[in-house]
Amino acid sequence: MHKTMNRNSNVYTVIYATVLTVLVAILLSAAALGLKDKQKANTDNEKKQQILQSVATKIGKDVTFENAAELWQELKMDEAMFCVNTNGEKVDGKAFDIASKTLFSGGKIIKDASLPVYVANIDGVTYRIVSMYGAGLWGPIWGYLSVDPEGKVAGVSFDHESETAGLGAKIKDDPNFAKAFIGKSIFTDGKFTSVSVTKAGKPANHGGDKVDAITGATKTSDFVGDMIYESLLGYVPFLQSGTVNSDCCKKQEGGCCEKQDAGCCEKQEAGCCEKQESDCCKKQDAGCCEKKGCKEEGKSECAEKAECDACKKAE
Amino acid sequence: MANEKKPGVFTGPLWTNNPVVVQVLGICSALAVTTQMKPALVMGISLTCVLAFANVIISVLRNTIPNRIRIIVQLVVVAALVIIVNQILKAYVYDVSKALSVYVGLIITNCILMGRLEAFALGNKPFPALLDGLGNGLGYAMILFITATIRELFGSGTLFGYDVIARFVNEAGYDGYQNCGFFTMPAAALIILGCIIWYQRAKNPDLQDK
Repeated sequence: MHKTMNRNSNVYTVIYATVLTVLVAILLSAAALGLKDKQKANTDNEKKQQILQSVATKIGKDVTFENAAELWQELKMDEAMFCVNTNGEKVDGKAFDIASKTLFSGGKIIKDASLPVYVANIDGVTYRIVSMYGAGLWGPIWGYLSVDPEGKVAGVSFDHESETAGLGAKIKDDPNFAKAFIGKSIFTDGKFTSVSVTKAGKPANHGGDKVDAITGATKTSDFVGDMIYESLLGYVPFLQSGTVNSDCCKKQEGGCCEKQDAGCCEKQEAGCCEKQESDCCKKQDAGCCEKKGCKEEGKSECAEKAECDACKKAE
Repeated sequence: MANEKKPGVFTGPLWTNNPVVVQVLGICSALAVTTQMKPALVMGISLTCVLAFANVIISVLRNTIPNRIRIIVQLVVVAALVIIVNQILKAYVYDVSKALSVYVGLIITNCILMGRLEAFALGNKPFPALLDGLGNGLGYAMILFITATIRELFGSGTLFGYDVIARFVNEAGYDGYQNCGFFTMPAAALIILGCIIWYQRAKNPDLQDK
Protein backbone atom coordinates (compact mmCIF):
# COMPACT_ATOMS: atom_id res chain seq x y z
CA MET A 1 0.00 0.00 0.00
CA HIS A 2 2.77 2.41 0.87
CA LYS A 3 4.24 2.11 -2.60
CA THR A 4 1.10 3.22 -4.34
CA MET A 5 0.02 5.88 -1.87
CA ASN A 6 1.76 8.96 -0.73
CA ARG A 7 2.87 8.26 2.83
CA ASN A 8 2.36 11.84 3.83
CA SER A 9 -1.12 12.26 2.47
CA ASN A 10 -3.94 12.90 4.90
CA VAL A 11 -5.93 9.91 3.70
CA TYR A 12 -3.04 7.54 4.28
CA THR A 13 -2.35 8.97 7.73
CA VAL A 14 -5.97 8.66 8.83
CA ILE A 15 -6.35 5.12 7.49
CA TYR A 16 -3.05 4.09 9.09
CA ALA A 17 -4.00 5.51 12.46
CA THR A 18 -7.45 3.88 12.34
CA VAL A 19 -6.17 0.43 11.39
CA LEU A 20 -3.44 0.59 14.03
CA THR A 21 -5.85 1.67 16.76
CA VAL A 22 -8.36 -1.06 15.93
CA LEU A 23 -5.67 -3.73 15.87
CA VAL A 24 -4.26 -2.62 19.21
CA ALA A 25 -7.74 -2.42 20.73
CA ILE A 26 -8.52 -6.00 19.68
CA LEU A 27 -5.20 -7.22 21.04
CA LEU A 28 -5.64 -5.51 24.41
CA SER A 29 -9.23 -6.67 24.80
CA ALA A 30 -8.15 -10.22 24.16
CA ALA A 31 -5.36 -9.96 26.73
CA ALA A 32 -7.65 -8.38 29.34
CA LEU A 33 -10.38 -10.98 28.86
CA GLY A 34 -7.98 -13.90 28.79
CA LEU A 35 -6.26 -12.94 32.03
CA LYS A 36 -9.30 -11.65 33.91
CA ASP A 37 -10.05 -14.79 35.92
CA LYS A 38 -6.49 -15.17 37.06
CA GLN A 39 -6.30 -11.53 38.14
CA LYS A 40 -9.61 -11.74 39.98
CA ALA A 41 -8.35 -14.79 41.85
CA ASN A 42 -5.30 -12.81 42.92
CA THR A 43 -7.21 -9.78 44.20
CA ASP A 44 -9.72 -12.05 45.98
CA ASN A 45 -6.91 -13.94 47.59
CA GLU A 46 -5.31 -10.73 48.77
CA LYS A 47 -8.61 -9.63 50.31
CA LYS A 48 -8.92 -12.97 52.10
CA GLN A 49 -5.40 -12.57 53.40
CA GLN A 50 -6.15 -9.12 54.79
CA ILE A 51 -9.41 -10.22 56.39
CA LEU A 52 -7.79 -13.24 58.03
CA GLN A 53 -4.78 -11.19 59.06
CA SER A 54 -7.07 -9.38 61.51
CA VAL A 55 -7.53 -12.62 63.44
CA ALA A 56 -4.03 -13.95 62.79
CA THR A 57 -3.04 -13.96 66.46
CA LYS A 58 -6.15 -16.02 67.26
CA ILE A 59 -5.41 -18.48 64.48
CA GLY A 60 -1.91 -18.65 65.87
CA LYS A 61 0.01 -18.30 62.63
CA ASP A 62 0.84 -15.67 60.09
CA VAL A 63 -1.53 -15.38 57.17
CA THR A 64 0.35 -15.16 53.90
CA PHE A 65 -0.75 -14.73 50.31
CA GLU A 66 -0.06 -18.43 49.82
CA ASN A 67 -1.98 -19.93 52.76
CA ALA A 68 -4.87 -17.43 52.80
CA ALA A 69 -7.20 -19.40 50.53
CA GLU A 70 -6.59 -22.58 52.50
CA LEU A 71 -7.27 -20.95 55.88
CA TRP A 72 -10.34 -19.29 54.40
CA GLN A 73 -11.69 -22.73 53.53
CA GLU A 74 -10.75 -24.20 56.90
CA LEU A 75 -12.59 -21.49 58.81
CA LYS A 76 -15.61 -21.77 56.49
CA MET A 77 -15.55 -18.03 55.96
CA ASP A 78 -17.70 -18.18 52.83
CA GLU A 79 -20.72 -19.60 54.66
CA ALA A 80 -20.51 -17.29 57.65
CA MET A 81 -20.35 -13.84 56.13
CA PHE A 82 -23.32 -11.55 55.77
CA CYS A 83 -24.30 -7.90 55.47
CA VAL A 84 -25.83 -5.52 57.98
CA ASN A 85 -27.30 -2.06 57.59
CA THR A 86 -26.45 0.90 59.79
CA ASN A 87 -29.27 -0.08 62.20
CA GLY A 88 -27.60 -3.39 62.87
CA GLU A 89 -30.17 -5.47 60.95
CA LYS A 90 -29.12 -8.20 58.59
CA VAL A 91 -29.71 -7.34 54.95
CA ASP A 92 -29.24 -9.07 51.63
CA GLY A 93 -25.96 -8.75 49.85
CA LYS A 94 -22.81 -10.59 49.04
CA ALA A 95 -20.41 -9.42 51.70
CA PHE A 96 -17.24 -10.44 49.93
CA ASP A 97 -18.09 -8.64 46.70
CA ILE A 98 -18.72 -5.31 48.39
CA ALA A 99 -15.93 -2.83 47.80
CA SER A 100 -15.56 -0.87 51.03
CA LYS A 101 -14.92 2.24 48.97
CA THR A 102 -18.52 2.28 47.72
CA LEU A 103 -19.91 2.51 51.29
CA PHE A 104 -18.49 5.94 51.91
CA SER A 105 -19.32 9.40 50.72
CA GLY A 106 -17.26 12.34 51.92
CA GLY A 107 -15.52 10.19 54.53
CA LYS A 108 -18.80 9.13 56.17
CA ILE A 109 -20.70 5.91 55.81
CA ILE A 110 -23.72 6.40 53.56
CA LYS A 111 -27.11 5.89 55.17
CA ASP A 112 -28.43 2.88 53.26
CA ALA A 113 -25.10 1.07 53.14
CA SER A 114 -24.92 -2.73 53.28
CA LEU A 115 -21.89 -3.26 55.47
CA PRO A 116 -19.99 -6.52 55.08
CA VAL A 117 -19.41 -8.65 58.16
CA TYR A 118 -17.12 -11.66 58.19
CA VAL A 119 -17.35 -14.20 60.95
CA ALA A 120 -14.50 -16.39 62.08
CA ASN A 121 -15.03 -19.17 64.60
CA ILE A 122 -11.70 -19.97 66.15
CA ASP A 123 -11.40 -22.36 69.08
CA GLY A 124 -15.07 -21.92 69.91
CA VAL A 125 -14.92 -18.13 70.04
CA THR A 126 -16.79 -16.07 67.47
CA TYR A 127 -14.94 -13.10 66.06
CA ARG A 128 -16.79 -10.62 63.93
CA ILE A 129 -14.62 -8.90 61.35
CA VAL A 130 -15.70 -5.56 59.99
CA SER A 131 -14.29 -3.65 57.08
CA MET A 132 -12.76 -0.18 57.27
CA TYR A 133 -11.96 2.37 54.62
CA GLY A 134 -10.78 5.96 54.68
CA ALA A 135 -8.43 8.60 53.42
CA GLY A 136 -4.74 8.34 54.18
CA LEU A 137 -2.12 11.02 53.78
CA TRP A 138 -1.44 10.32 50.10
CA GLY A 139 -4.14 7.92 49.03
CA PRO A 140 -6.81 5.62 50.37
CA ILE A 141 -6.16 3.38 53.36
CA TRP A 142 -8.29 0.44 54.34
CA GLY A 143 -8.30 -2.52 56.67
CA TYR A 144 -10.21 -5.05 58.72
CA LEU A 145 -10.88 -5.12 62.44
CA SER A 146 -12.01 -8.16 64.37
CA VAL A 147 -14.13 -7.81 67.47
CA ASP A 148 -14.37 -10.49 70.12
CA PRO A 149 -17.62 -11.30 71.98
CA GLU A 150 -16.77 -8.79 74.71
CA GLY A 151 -16.53 -5.89 72.28
CA LYS A 152 -12.75 -5.83 72.41
CA VAL A 153 -10.47 -5.68 69.41
CA ALA A 154 -9.08 -9.11 68.60
CA GLY A 155 -6.82 -7.86 65.85
CA VAL A 156 -6.51 -5.48 62.95
CA SER A 157 -4.94 -5.42 59.54
CA PHE A 158 -4.24 -2.30 57.53
CA ASP A 159 -3.27 -1.64 53.97
CA HIS A 160 -2.68 1.48 51.97
CA GLU A 161 -2.19 2.60 48.43
CA SER A 162 0.60 5.12 48.63
CA GLU A 163 1.70 5.99 52.17
CA THR A 164 5.39 6.86 52.53
CA ALA A 165 7.61 3.78 52.64
CA GLY A 166 9.31 3.42 56.02
CA LEU A 167 6.97 5.93 57.70
CA GLY A 168 3.24 5.86 56.97
CA ALA A 169 3.62 2.49 55.27
CA LYS A 170 4.38 1.06 58.72
CA ILE A 171 0.65 0.80 59.36
CA LYS A 172 0.93 -2.26 57.14
CA ASP A 173 4.60 -3.23 57.47
CA ASP A 174 5.15 -2.90 61.22
CA PRO A 175 3.41 -5.80 62.98
CA ASN A 176 3.80 -4.02 66.32
CA PHE A 177 1.44 -1.26 65.23
CA ALA A 178 -1.36 -3.72 64.54
CA LYS A 179 -0.54 -5.67 67.72
CA ALA A 180 -1.06 -2.54 69.82
CA PHE A 181 -4.77 -2.65 68.99
CA ILE A 182 -5.36 -6.10 70.42
CA GLY A 183 -7.42 -6.03 73.60
CA LYS A 184 -8.48 -2.41 73.23
CA SER A 185 -12.15 -1.83 73.86
CA ILE A 186 -14.24 -0.01 71.30
CA PHE A 187 -17.00 0.61 73.85
CA THR A 188 -16.68 2.45 77.13
CA ASP A 189 -19.61 2.05 79.53
CA GLY A 190 -21.70 0.87 76.61
CA LYS A 191 -20.91 3.96 74.58
CA PHE A 192 -18.98 3.79 71.32
CA THR A 193 -15.63 5.42 71.86
CA SER A 194 -13.63 3.74 69.08
CA VAL A 195 -9.89 3.20 69.42
CA SER A 196 -7.98 6.40 68.82
CA VAL A 197 -4.49 6.71 67.40
CA THR A 198 -2.70 9.64 69.01
CA LYS A 199 0.83 10.63 69.92
CA ALA A 200 2.31 8.92 72.94
CA GLY A 201 1.15 10.71 76.08
CA LYS A 202 -1.81 12.39 74.43
CA PRO A 203 -5.33 11.34 75.42
CA ALA A 204 -7.74 9.50 73.12
CA ASN A 205 -9.86 11.59 70.77
CA HIS A 206 -13.24 10.17 71.76
CA GLY A 207 -12.43 9.01 75.26
CA GLY A 208 -11.93 5.30 75.66
CA ASP A 209 -8.90 3.38 74.48
CA LYS A 210 -6.05 4.52 72.28
CA VAL A 211 -2.84 3.30 70.74
CA ASP A 212 0.30 5.34 70.16
CA ALA A 213 0.86 6.93 66.77
CA ILE A 214 3.79 5.86 64.61
CA THR A 215 6.81 8.07 65.12
CA GLY A 216 7.37 10.19 62.03
CA ALA A 217 3.99 9.33 60.61
CA THR A 218 1.67 11.38 62.79
CA LYS A 219 -0.58 12.33 59.87
CA THR A 220 -1.06 8.80 58.60
CA SER A 221 -1.68 7.69 62.19
CA ASP A 222 -4.34 10.38 62.60
CA PHE A 223 -6.01 9.18 59.44
CA VAL A 224 -5.98 5.59 60.70
CA GLY A 225 -7.75 6.75 63.87
CA ASP A 226 -10.31 8.67 61.81
CA MET A 227 -10.84 5.68 59.55
CA ILE A 228 -11.50 3.37 62.48
CA TYR A 229 -13.93 5.83 64.03
CA GLU A 230 -15.87 6.62 60.88
CA SER A 231 -15.97 3.03 59.67
CA LEU A 232 -17.04 1.50 62.98
CA LEU A 233 -19.69 4.19 63.44
CA GLY A 234 -21.86 2.39 60.87
CA TYR A 235 -21.38 -0.91 62.64
CA VAL A 236 -22.13 0.34 66.17
CA PRO A 237 -25.74 -0.92 66.46
CA PHE A 238 -24.74 -4.28 65.04
CA LEU A 239 -21.70 -4.65 67.27
CA GLN A 240 -23.61 -3.61 70.36
CA SER A 241 -26.41 -6.08 69.79
CA GLY A 242 -23.97 -8.89 69.27
CA THR A 243 -21.96 -7.90 72.30
CA VAL A 244 -25.02 -8.28 74.50
CA ASN A 245 -26.18 -11.54 72.99
CA SER A 246 -23.03 -13.45 73.44
CA ASP A 247 -21.73 -11.91 76.63
CA CYS A 248 -24.24 -10.18 78.86
CA CYS A 249 -26.91 -12.80 78.58
CA LYS A 250 -24.55 -15.34 79.96
CA LYS A 251 -23.87 -13.10 82.89
CA GLN A 252 -27.56 -12.66 83.30
CA GLU A 253 -27.93 -16.38 83.88
CA GLY A 254 -24.97 -16.20 86.22
CA GLY A 255 -26.91 -14.27 88.80
CA CYS A 256 -26.13 -10.59 88.45
CA CYS A 257 -29.01 -9.84 86.21
CA GLU A 258 -31.57 -11.88 88.12
CA LYS A 259 -31.98 -8.96 90.40
CA GLN A 260 -31.94 -6.53 87.58
CA ASP A 261 -34.82 -4.20 87.29
CA ALA A 262 -36.57 -3.57 84.02
CA GLY A 263 -34.51 -0.52 83.22
CA CYS A 264 -31.33 -2.44 83.52
CA CYS A 265 -32.52 -5.18 81.22
CA GLU A 266 -33.63 -2.72 78.62
CA LYS A 267 -30.22 -1.19 78.61
CA GLN A 268 -28.77 -4.61 78.28
CA GLU A 269 -30.80 -5.30 75.20
CA ALA A 270 -29.71 -2.04 73.74
CA GLY A 271 -26.19 -3.24 74.07
CA CYS A 272 -24.94 -1.38 77.12
CA CYS A 273 -23.15 -4.20 78.76
CA GLU A 274 -20.74 -1.97 80.63
CA LYS A 275 -23.44 0.47 81.52
CA GLN A 276 -25.58 -2.31 82.75
CA GLU A 277 -22.85 -3.40 85.09
CA SER A 278 -22.35 0.07 86.45
CA ASP A 279 -26.06 0.55 86.92
CA CYS A 280 -26.25 -2.73 88.78
CA CYS A 281 -23.41 -1.70 90.98
CA LYS A 282 -25.21 1.40 92.06
CA LYS A 283 -27.87 -0.92 93.32
CA GLN A 284 -25.19 -2.74 95.28
CA ASP A 285 -25.91 -6.08 93.79
CA ALA A 286 -23.56 -8.59 95.36
CA GLY A 287 -23.02 -10.52 92.17
CA CYS A 288 -22.04 -7.38 90.39
CA CYS A 289 -19.52 -6.34 92.95
CA GLU A 290 -17.42 -9.31 92.17
CA LYS A 291 -17.06 -8.13 88.64
CA LYS A 292 -14.09 -6.03 87.81
CA GLY A 293 -15.54 -3.44 85.48
CA CYS A 294 -18.17 -2.21 87.93
CA LYS A 295 -17.79 1.36 88.90
CA GLU A 296 -19.81 3.17 91.40
CA GLU A 297 -20.20 6.85 90.98
CA GLY A 298 -17.49 8.61 92.89
CA LYS A 299 -15.48 5.41 93.31
CA SER A 300 -12.86 4.03 91.04
CA GLU A 301 -13.20 0.37 92.05
CA CYS A 302 -15.95 -2.05 92.86
CA ALA A 303 -17.87 -1.41 95.96
CA GLU A 304 -16.55 -3.35 98.90
CA LYS A 305 -18.19 -6.66 99.60
CA ALA A 306 -19.19 -5.41 103.02
CA GLU A 307 -20.96 -2.47 101.50
CA CYS A 308 -22.78 -4.77 99.15
CA ASP A 309 -23.90 -7.00 101.93
CA ALA A 310 -25.11 -4.01 103.84
CA CYS A 311 -26.98 -2.93 100.78
CA LYS A 312 -28.52 -6.32 100.37
CA LYS A 313 -29.86 -6.18 103.87
CA ALA A 314 -31.24 -2.78 103.19
CA GLU A 315 -32.97 -4.15 100.13
CA MET B 1 24.32 3.72 10.54
CA ALA B 2 25.18 0.95 12.96
CA ASN B 3 24.28 -1.79 10.52
CA GLU B 4 27.85 -2.82 9.86
CA LYS B 5 28.93 -3.50 13.43
CA LYS B 6 26.23 -5.66 14.96
CA PRO B 7 28.24 -6.73 18.03
CA GLY B 8 28.53 -3.11 19.10
CA VAL B 9 24.79 -2.72 18.78
CA PHE B 10 24.24 -5.33 21.47
CA THR B 11 27.26 -5.02 23.75
CA GLY B 12 27.64 -1.24 23.61
CA PRO B 13 24.60 -0.42 25.74
CA LEU B 14 25.60 -3.04 28.28
CA TRP B 15 28.52 -1.01 29.53
CA THR B 16 30.32 1.66 27.50
CA ASN B 17 27.09 3.22 26.26
CA ASN B 18 24.84 2.14 29.12
CA PRO B 19 21.44 3.84 28.96
CA VAL B 20 21.31 4.57 32.70
CA VAL B 21 24.82 5.52 33.73
CA VAL B 22 26.10 6.96 30.44
CA GLN B 23 23.05 8.28 28.66
CA VAL B 24 21.41 9.02 32.06
CA LEU B 25 17.97 7.80 30.92
CA GLY B 26 15.38 5.99 33.02
CA ILE B 27 16.68 7.38 36.31
CA CYS B 28 13.21 7.82 37.78
CA SER B 29 12.38 4.13 37.81
CA ALA B 30 15.96 3.25 38.75
CA LEU B 31 15.44 5.16 42.00
CA ALA B 32 11.94 3.90 42.65
CA VAL B 33 11.99 0.14 42.13
CA THR B 34 15.44 -0.76 43.47
CA THR B 35 14.60 -1.14 47.17
CA GLN B 36 14.26 -4.90 46.74
CA MET B 37 15.89 -7.20 44.21
CA LYS B 38 12.80 -9.01 43.03
CA PRO B 39 10.90 -5.99 41.72
CA ALA B 40 14.11 -4.60 40.23
CA LEU B 41 14.70 -7.83 38.35
CA VAL B 42 11.12 -8.01 37.12
CA MET B 43 11.22 -4.37 36.10
CA GLY B 44 14.45 -5.00 34.17
CA ILE B 45 13.02 -8.03 32.40
CA SER B 46 9.75 -6.21 31.67
CA LEU B 47 11.52 -3.25 30.17
CA THR B 48 13.82 -5.48 28.13
CA CYS B 49 10.84 -7.36 26.69
CA VAL B 50 8.89 -4.21 25.93
CA LEU B 51 11.91 -2.50 24.39
CA ALA B 52 12.93 -5.48 22.25
CA PHE B 53 9.39 -6.04 20.94
CA ALA B 54 8.75 -2.35 20.38
CA ASN B 55 12.03 -1.98 18.54
CA VAL B 56 11.23 -4.89 16.25
CA ILE B 57 7.65 -3.79 15.61
CA ILE B 58 8.63 -0.21 14.84
CA SER B 59 11.51 -1.43 12.69
CA VAL B 60 9.16 -3.67 10.69
CA LEU B 61 6.70 -0.82 10.27
CA ARG B 62 9.33 1.81 9.67
CA ASN B 63 8.67 2.12 5.94
CA THR B 64 4.91 2.40 6.38
CA ILE B 65 4.65 4.80 9.30
CA PRO B 66 3.44 8.23 8.20
CA ASN B 67 6.11 10.66 9.23
CA ARG B 68 3.71 13.15 10.76
CA ILE B 69 2.28 10.71 13.30
CA ARG B 70 5.35 8.58 13.91
CA ILE B 71 5.69 9.55 17.57
CA ILE B 72 2.04 8.69 18.14
CA VAL B 73 2.48 5.34 16.43
CA GLN B 74 5.50 4.61 18.61
CA LEU B 75 3.53 5.54 21.71
CA VAL B 76 0.60 3.34 20.75
CA VAL B 77 2.87 0.36 20.17
CA VAL B 78 4.73 0.91 23.44
CA ALA B 79 1.56 1.54 25.41
CA ALA B 80 -0.06 -1.62 24.08
CA LEU B 81 2.99 -3.69 25.00
CA VAL B 82 3.23 -2.15 28.45
CA ILE B 83 -0.44 -2.81 29.18
CA ILE B 84 -0.02 -6.43 28.13
CA VAL B 85 3.05 -6.80 30.36
CA ASN B 86 1.16 -5.23 33.25
CA GLN B 87 -1.80 -7.57 32.77
CA ILE B 88 0.50 -10.59 32.71
CA LEU B 89 2.30 -9.45 35.87
CA LYS B 90 -1.02 -8.95 37.64
CA ALA B 91 -2.13 -12.43 36.68
CA TYR B 92 1.03 -14.38 37.40
CA VAL B 93 3.25 -12.47 39.85
CA TYR B 94 0.72 -10.43 41.80
CA ASP B 95 3.01 -9.45 44.68
CA VAL B 96 5.64 -8.14 42.30
CA SER B 97 3.08 -6.20 40.31
CA LYS B 98 1.98 -4.57 43.57
CA ALA B 99 5.55 -3.63 44.43
CA LEU B 100 6.08 -2.14 40.98
CA SER B 101 2.68 -0.42 41.10
CA VAL B 102 2.68 2.56 38.79
CA TYR B 103 6.19 2.04 37.53
CA VAL B 104 5.16 -0.60 35.03
CA GLY B 105 2.75 1.90 33.54
CA LEU B 106 5.55 4.42 33.57
CA ILE B 107 7.64 2.21 31.28
CA ILE B 108 5.65 4.02 28.61
CA THR B 109 7.30 7.27 29.53
CA ASN B 110 10.72 5.72 30.11
CA CYS B 111 13.08 7.82 28.04
CA ILE B 112 15.06 4.75 27.01
CA LEU B 113 12.11 3.44 25.02
CA MET B 114 11.21 6.48 23.00
CA GLY B 115 14.88 7.29 22.64
CA ARG B 116 15.76 3.93 21.13
CA LEU B 117 12.68 3.82 18.92
CA GLU B 118 13.30 7.25 17.53
CA ALA B 119 17.08 6.99 17.26
CA PHE B 120 17.50 3.38 16.19
CA ALA B 121 14.42 1.36 15.27
CA LEU B 122 13.09 3.90 12.79
CA GLY B 123 16.28 3.73 10.76
CA ASN B 124 17.36 0.09 11.03
CA LYS B 125 16.32 -3.40 10.02
CA PRO B 126 14.45 -5.60 12.51
CA PHE B 127 17.36 -7.80 13.56
CA PRO B 128 19.76 -5.02 14.58
CA ALA B 129 16.77 -3.31 16.18
CA LEU B 130 16.13 -6.44 18.24
CA LEU B 131 19.75 -6.54 19.36
CA ASP B 132 19.67 -2.86 20.20
CA GLY B 133 16.51 -3.36 22.23
CA LEU B 134 17.90 -6.33 24.13
CA GLY B 135 21.23 -4.57 24.72
CA ASN B 136 19.69 -1.41 26.09
CA GLY B 137 17.10 -3.32 28.12
CA LEU B 138 19.72 -5.57 29.69
CA GLY B 139 22.04 -2.61 30.29
CA TYR B 140 19.22 -0.94 32.19
CA ALA B 141 18.32 -4.17 34.01
CA MET B 142 21.94 -4.68 35.04
CA ILE B 143 22.27 -1.27 36.66
CA LEU B 144 18.94 -1.74 38.41
CA PHE B 145 20.04 -5.11 39.67
CA ILE B 146 23.37 -3.88 41.02
CA THR B 147 21.68 -0.98 42.78
CA ALA B 148 18.96 -3.19 44.20
CA THR B 149 21.48 -5.73 45.49
CA ILE B 150 23.35 -3.09 47.44
CA ARG B 151 20.17 -1.46 48.71
CA GLU B 152 18.47 -4.66 49.79
CA LEU B 153 21.57 -6.09 51.44
CA PHE B 154 22.31 -3.05 53.57
CA GLY B 155 18.80 -1.64 53.86
CA SER B 156 16.90 -4.80 54.72
CA GLY B 157 19.70 -7.30 55.42
CA THR B 158 18.26 -9.69 52.85
CA LEU B 159 18.93 -10.85 49.30
CA PHE B 160 15.83 -11.79 47.30
CA GLY B 161 14.00 -11.79 50.63
CA TYR B 162 16.42 -14.38 52.01
CA ASP B 163 17.83 -13.28 55.34
CA VAL B 164 21.56 -12.87 54.83
CA ILE B 165 22.92 -10.53 57.45
CA ALA B 166 20.93 -11.94 60.35
CA ARG B 167 21.96 -15.45 59.33
CA PHE B 168 25.62 -15.06 58.58
CA VAL B 169 26.83 -11.93 60.29
CA ASN B 170 24.85 -11.74 63.49
CA GLU B 171 24.88 -15.48 64.11
CA ALA B 172 28.60 -15.67 63.51
CA GLY B 173 29.13 -13.68 66.65
CA TYR B 174 29.31 -10.17 65.22
CA ASP B 175 26.02 -9.38 66.82
CA GLY B 176 24.20 -6.13 66.57
CA TYR B 177 24.10 -5.17 62.90
CA GLN B 178 21.24 -2.78 62.41
CA ASN B 179 19.69 -2.44 58.97
CA CYS B 180 20.53 0.92 57.50
CA GLY B 181 17.17 2.50 56.76
CA PHE B 182 18.85 5.10 54.60
CA PHE B 183 19.44 2.50 51.90
CA THR B 184 15.71 2.03 51.50
CA MET B 185 15.31 5.70 50.61
CA PRO B 186 15.52 6.94 47.01
CA ALA B 187 18.45 9.20 47.91
CA ALA B 188 20.60 6.13 48.54
CA ALA B 189 19.85 4.88 45.02
CA LEU B 190 21.02 8.20 43.62
CA ILE B 191 24.28 7.95 45.56
CA ILE B 192 24.85 4.35 44.45
CA LEU B 193 24.16 5.32 40.85
CA GLY B 194 26.62 8.17 41.25
CA CYS B 195 29.25 5.74 42.49
CA ILE B 196 28.66 3.43 39.52
CA ILE B 197 29.00 6.36 37.14
CA TRP B 198 32.18 7.43 38.94
CA TYR B 199 33.67 3.94 38.69
CA GLN B 200 32.71 3.60 35.06
CA ARG B 201 34.18 6.93 34.00
CA ALA B 202 37.38 6.18 35.88
CA LYS B 203 37.67 2.91 33.91
CA ASN B 204 36.70 4.45 30.57
CA PRO B 205 38.68 7.63 29.92
CA ASP B 206 36.75 8.04 26.64
CA LEU B 207 33.66 8.93 28.61
CA GLN B 208 35.27 11.65 30.64
CA ASP B 209 34.34 15.19 29.74
CA LYS B 210 37.16 16.85 27.93
